[in-house]
Amino acid sequence: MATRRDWLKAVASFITGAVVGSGTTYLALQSAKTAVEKTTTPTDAEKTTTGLPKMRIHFLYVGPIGDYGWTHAHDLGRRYLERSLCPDPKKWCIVETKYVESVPEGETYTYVKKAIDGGAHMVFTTSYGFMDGTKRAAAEFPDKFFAHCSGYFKDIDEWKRLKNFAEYFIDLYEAYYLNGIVAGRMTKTNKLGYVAAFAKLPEVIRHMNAFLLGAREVNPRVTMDVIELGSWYNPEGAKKAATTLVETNKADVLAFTEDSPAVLQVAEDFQKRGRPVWSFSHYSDMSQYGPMAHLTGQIVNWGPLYVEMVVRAYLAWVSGDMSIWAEWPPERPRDYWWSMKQAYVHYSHRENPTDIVMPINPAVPADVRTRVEQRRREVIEGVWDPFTGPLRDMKGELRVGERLRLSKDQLYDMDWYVEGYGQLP
Amino acid sequence: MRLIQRSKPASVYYVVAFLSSLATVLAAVYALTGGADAVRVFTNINLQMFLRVFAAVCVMGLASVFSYRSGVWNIGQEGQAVMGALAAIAAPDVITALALSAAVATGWIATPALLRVWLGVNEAVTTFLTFFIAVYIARYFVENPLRDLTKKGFIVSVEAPFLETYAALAIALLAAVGVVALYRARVGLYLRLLSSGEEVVKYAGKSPKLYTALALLLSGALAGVGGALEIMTREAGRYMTLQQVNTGFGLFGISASWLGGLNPLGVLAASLYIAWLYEVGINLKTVGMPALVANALVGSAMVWGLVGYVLYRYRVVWR
Repeated sequence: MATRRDWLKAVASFITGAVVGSGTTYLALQSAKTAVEKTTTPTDAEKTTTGLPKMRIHFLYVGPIGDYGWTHAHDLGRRYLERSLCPDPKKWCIVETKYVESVPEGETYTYVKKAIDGGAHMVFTTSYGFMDGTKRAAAEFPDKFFAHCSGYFKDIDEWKRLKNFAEYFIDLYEAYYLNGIVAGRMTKTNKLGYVAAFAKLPEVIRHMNAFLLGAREVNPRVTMDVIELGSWYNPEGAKKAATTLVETNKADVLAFTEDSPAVLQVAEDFQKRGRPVWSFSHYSDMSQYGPMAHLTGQIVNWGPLYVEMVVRAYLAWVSGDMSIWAEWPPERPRDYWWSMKQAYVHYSHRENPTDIVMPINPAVPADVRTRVEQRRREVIEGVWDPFTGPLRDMKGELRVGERLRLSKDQLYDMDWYVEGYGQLP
Repeated sequence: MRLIQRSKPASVYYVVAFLSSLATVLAAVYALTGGADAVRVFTNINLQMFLRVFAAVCVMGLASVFSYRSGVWNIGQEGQAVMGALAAIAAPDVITALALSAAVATGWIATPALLRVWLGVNEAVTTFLTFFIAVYIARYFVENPLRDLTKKGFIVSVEAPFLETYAALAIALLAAVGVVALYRARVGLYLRLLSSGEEVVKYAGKSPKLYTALALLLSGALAGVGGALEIMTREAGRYMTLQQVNTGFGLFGISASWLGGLNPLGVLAASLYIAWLYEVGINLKTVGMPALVANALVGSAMVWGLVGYVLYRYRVVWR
């Protein structure tokens, strides 16, 4: 049995553990302090000099904020929100934000509940796998606000029932279409390459189809080969895929839907060796990774959309009148579907963050630039859409009739491929 | 510094290891939160979540015990759990789900087990690598046969049947009792003898190959059930998506088995502790700490478990 010696050992080990634990944590914190930004603001909502109460807003992320893709973009949006609605914590400040990263999709409900226990008035959940858990929490806490990214309402009854719940998304297919126009005119081999994280996701299919439609509109001989990665973030895989597309498939313009700048870097390497291979930015401004190879591209900024939604939720919260939140935006209430249309033609993303299109490389001929500008204006003004009929799928079946367009649901559920694909996974 | 085997193992070092681990966690959390939020981080427990993590980790831990107590190295619990969860998704009801998950996971680990027995291929390598295959197979099922077409543009599997948390707890306890009983029985004796070397089993008149395979198969089957329990007890979202196929609970199970001294009852205690650590991790994330901190806490528990195991068997001589 335990002797006195043993007990002494136990006590000593406890002390050792405590010293080791606190010591290593202290050291780790010291080294990580510069990297990890402390975002926790004081939890007690003191009144500002304007007398407005602070709304506490909690974000759930699916990945780590340093992933340079999806979660990173959402976190930039959160910071934009805080900058806009809380520029000075003492004077004018109506929000206070917090986030949790790497939330497992199966545990959404628990995390949302913890956020609300911690005093959150509004919760944003930013992955499609978070949908069911968020809806469940929304039904349980009718006096809190919830917004879920990239989901949908099951039916009109659910939409009516969950008045405190909104869906939102920013789609980029129109920008991909403009990229496609540039790609179609810049390719010498008439072969485009595409690196896709998941080639069967409707969002990615939409991007690929729009890109190919743009290219074939200006150059009908173009075909496109696709390589699938199987994950959103896999720079090594993306690099290999891009190199294969150029060297084996003879592609000279590469587009991608994944979370790293690896494809652009590969294009830049080829440029440096004197072989013209081009690529784009996707999701954030990647031009620094390939100043020569960077044609144009799209960035996403969730910030303005977050400000829009939070302002509405805030007004409903302080006034107690739900309609100012629940009935907006008018065309699809509580179902925000933003895209390139949210900025007028003469914006640039540096002046207005709602603009998602990047400037075009000077190497692109002037007539292509004019064409892109014209199509962009037409899309923004609503007189043109990339998916305007007649469009046929790969098997030749008519998918969009003459002079017809696709509805939001048809775009959202897209599971068919337009004509012109070479190799598909 | 040398390690000298003790003539009699000293169980007290498991207590020592546990206390050290606890101290590490307490100190780390105080250092991280600056003391202000620490109490809330330790005590804000969501019971439902705590119990379901406990049940899943416990079963995974028992699965690990089956393997390590026999001196074979199954480190692919994660992959077997994925196959078990996949079977649960495909099953129409709870009973079928449990049976099917055990069966499918047993089938899944059969390849490494047979490779080990017949060709002498290292099972640590094969079980680990088959995990990656399991992920791709699961993705195939999510994309095609098990895809929930009512979810529109989502690529999401259908939902697994719902299992009450108390039922999962009962299953976990039953599994623990079962393992204890098995180790008392003759079969269990040979399984344990295996860790002393294949010759020992041979001299006992049994086939070491048979018992090696049995240890791995039992380990795989339980890990599969653990995966099924995890997905079936979720409060919402009992489905798989392309990006989140596995949960990491298999690795927690490995931690639990070492911290629990490879003893079924020890695993029960260690799983309680790890489930609590998991809650602490969630709370830390909620107050704004990076997600890696949460995993590091469970990892530190595993390190202390290994320290405990070494000190349990060996004496440290400093010169």
